[in-house]
Order: sequence, then C-alpha cells, then structure tokens
Amino acid sequence: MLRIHDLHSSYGLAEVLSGISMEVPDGTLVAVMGRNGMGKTTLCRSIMGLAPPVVSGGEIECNGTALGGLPAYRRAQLGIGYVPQGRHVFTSLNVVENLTVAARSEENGNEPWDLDRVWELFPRLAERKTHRAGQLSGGEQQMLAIARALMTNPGLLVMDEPSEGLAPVLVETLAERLHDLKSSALSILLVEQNLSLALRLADVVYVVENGGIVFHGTPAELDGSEEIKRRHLGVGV
Amino acid sequence: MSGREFVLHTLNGFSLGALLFLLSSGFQLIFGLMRIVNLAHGSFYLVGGYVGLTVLIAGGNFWMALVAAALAIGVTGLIVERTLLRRLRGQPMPEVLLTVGLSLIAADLSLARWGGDPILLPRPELLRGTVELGGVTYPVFRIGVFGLGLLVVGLMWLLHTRTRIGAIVRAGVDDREMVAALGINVEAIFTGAFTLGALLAGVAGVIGGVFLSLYPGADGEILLYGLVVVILGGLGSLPGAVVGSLLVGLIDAFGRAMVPSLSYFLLFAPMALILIFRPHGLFGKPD
Repeated sequence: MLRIHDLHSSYGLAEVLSGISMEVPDGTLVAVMGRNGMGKTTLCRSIMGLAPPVVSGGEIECNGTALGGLPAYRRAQLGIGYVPQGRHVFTSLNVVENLTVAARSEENGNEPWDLDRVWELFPRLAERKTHRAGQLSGGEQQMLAIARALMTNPGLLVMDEPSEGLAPVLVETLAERLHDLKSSALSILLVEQNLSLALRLADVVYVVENGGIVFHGTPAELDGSEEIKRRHLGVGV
Repeated sequence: MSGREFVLHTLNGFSLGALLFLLSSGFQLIFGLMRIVNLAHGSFYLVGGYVGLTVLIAGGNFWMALVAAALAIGVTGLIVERTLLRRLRGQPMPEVLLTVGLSLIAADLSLARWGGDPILLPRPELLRGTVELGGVTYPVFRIGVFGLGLLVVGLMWLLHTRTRIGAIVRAGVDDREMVAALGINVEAIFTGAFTLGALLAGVAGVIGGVFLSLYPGADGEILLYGLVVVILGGLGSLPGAVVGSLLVGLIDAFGRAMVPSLSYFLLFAPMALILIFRPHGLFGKPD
C-alpha cells in the first residue's frame, strides 16, 4: 500500500527525517512510535505533501504511484485519508457538514463509507449531527476527524496521535474502533505515543529516534525488548 | 434631529451599506479564505465604474453597463489570480506589494484615459423618480441599490450555507491545509472566490458611479471603507460583512449629517476599539 524509501525531510536548515524507510503492506496496521520531537508528525506531513517540512530526498509510493512533487489534494485523491495531530476539524461547520465536505466516492474494492455507516461506527456523532464541530468535546472531535477521513473512502489511513489528550475510557473506545477499521481491510499508519494501544493493534511497529528508525519488528518483539522501550520510548525509567 | 431627518439618514446609511456590501463581501471572502489583503480591490471598483461609463458613452443603457463591468472586472480578477497572485502564494508581503502595484498602474491608466474630473453616471430610466417614505422624498435608485444589496446577500447566503462549494469555502476559512488534505483542490476554490469578489467590485463601481461619482482617488477611499467593514465584521464571515457594511453605512450617514468635522473620527474610532478589544471582529473567529 505505502512504501517509503530513504526519506529526508527538513524544516529550514534543520533536517528532521534523515533517511527513513518503511512499508505499510495492504490491510495491515503499522504503528510508528517515538518520543516527542523525533519526527513522527514530520513523517505524516511528508507523506501528505503538506509544507513545511520540505522533502529533500527519498521516495514515497502509494499503490505503486510515486507521490514526489504531487500537491496534497492529489495525494488524498490517490486514497490517503489523513487524521492530523490536534484533530483540525472544521470548527464553524456542523458535524454533518464536516463529513459531507470530505465525502468522495472511490472504487477501491472496500465497502463505501456514507453517513449511515459513520453513525454506525460512531453512534455518539449521530447524536451530535447538527452541533458545530467547535462545540464538541475532544473525544468527539477525534471521532469526527477519523470519520471525516473515512468519508474520502481511503485505502490508507494516516493517523497522527489520535489518542493524544483523550481520557483513558475514550482511548479504550478509540482502540475498539481502530480494531473494527483494521478488520475492514483498510491499511493504517498509526503514529502513537501510547505504547499499550500500539502493541495491542499493530501488526508491525517502527520506533523513530532523531529522524531515523532504531527498531522495526512485531509488537511482541518490541514488548520483549526492555532496552528499546527504556532508551527510545522512555518506558520504565 | 427631527423624525424626518432620522428617516433620511437611516435610508442613506442603508443604501450606502448595500453598496459597501457589494464591494466588501468579495474583499473579506478573499481576505478570509486566501489571507490576501487585495489592495487592488478599490481599483476593481473604480475601473468597473469606468467600464460602465464607456458602455454608456457608446450608447448602451445602465443594465448593459452593469453587466459589462461585472464581466470585464470578473475576467480581470481571474487573470490576476491565475497569472500573478498564484506565483506568490503563501508569501504575504509580495502578495500585498503586487496588489499595491496593480492599484497604482490602474490609477495612472484611469487618469490618463478618463481624466481627473469627477464623473457622475446617469441613473437608469427605470429607477429615476422619487418616492415618499416616512415623510421623506427619496430617490428610487437608492432604494433599488438597497434591494440589489439584499438580493446579493440572499444569493451569497444560499451559496454559503446550502451548497457544497459554500461548505468548502467555510471549511477553507477554518483550515485551508486540512481542506487540501481531504482531496479538494483549494487552488480552484481560490480562483473562483477571487473572480467572484472582483466581479462584485465591478458591479459596485457602476452603482458607486451613480451615487458617489467616479474620480481619481475614489479607489482608495472605497477601499478604506471596505477595510473598516472587514475589521468590524471579521474575516471570512458573511454575517460579519452584512453587519459591518450596515454599521459603516449608518455611521457615515449620521456622522456626516450631525458632526461633519468628525465623520472620519466616528468611522475609525469604532475600528480602533474593535482592534484593541476584539481583534478578530464582531463575527470572526480568533486565529
């Protein structure tokens, strides 16, 4: 689904990603972990073609199409749904409008998304249909940001720290919903700081540190490596 | 102030407000959506008026003048956006300088072509008489301007709230980058908004030519009013443009009548207060 080869990305003179390679195979959930400031958001923005940062080298391929130089809207049209860090819902639009603005039909063999299917996945949003997104709680905004990306009928979902700022009970709901999505043949790139969430859902985990990949393996392998968890994720210090 | 004077100034305020809405609804849309302060917007207005004048001299009627100005300035806006502004996207200072340069060129060419004397365009046949309103004899044309303002407010409101394009525009004012990341070509939306804004400025120019006359410097004056409307109402908000236009129209009408020596003060004092206490405007959102 997604292949990244030797990606370099920088903000001004500061190189934030220095040669990242990774792969999201069809229908899998790949988690990217790492502490703050290690380049996780830069990775997501580079995939989406949002500037800054500036991609200074390497290749990103989605379903065999090279993304280099394509504007963000063309990348989204190739089937990448984006759930940004901080949610970025359209605050002055209501819930339904947030979803219909994004709606796009796409023939990719997956069951198409419409409002009814969104209400089924997130019943809470159905109750808030006519509320402005700016009035929703953080958890509801996160659900809306995910639903909005799904309305573009993506083949790949790029999610940047969806659990950030959510109460534990909402993180649990989020985990269940992500599990549902994963079983619907969607490919997901999940950037997370929440270790237990990533370990529970991911097929493969990458750990980034200072713009490079320092670990790549299964959740079980990561869980078994106290060294990686301590040094790169700050767990158990 | 007598009751009749009050009615007169109110009517003046509303009709000037309607003209300002035609001008500033596009200006604030461009400002809110593209974050471009289009300082050539006043030139769109003045040159629109002169295009109308040219049509009238050539024997056309007022309505032909109105349509010609709308089309000519709309196409001008389209070309400016596609060929010039697009190259400078995301660089606020060069964008502003470009629009200043265009306004200077337009002002000089207009002076060379149409001279420095104020020119008052004739009212259309259909709207030539006067009516009695609340004890005041009032020109039908100004009532017509108010009607046109209401019509455009209505159409813009439908476009804004009832269409997908309108929802995309509102989403774009909230978060342009996210709109693009959903697979929507924001550039095309920008071009459309800029063209529509220019077209409305051209229409406003012909109407302004009837009610305020055309002269060198009218471009800058009307732009200043447009800026006050946007600052009072807020960026990218349709209700803000409506309320801001009416407020500025009424303040101007009453100010000129009651304390003529302070009329600019009365216009800019509220603007200064808004900038200090509510910098995002009455209806805008904080960034």
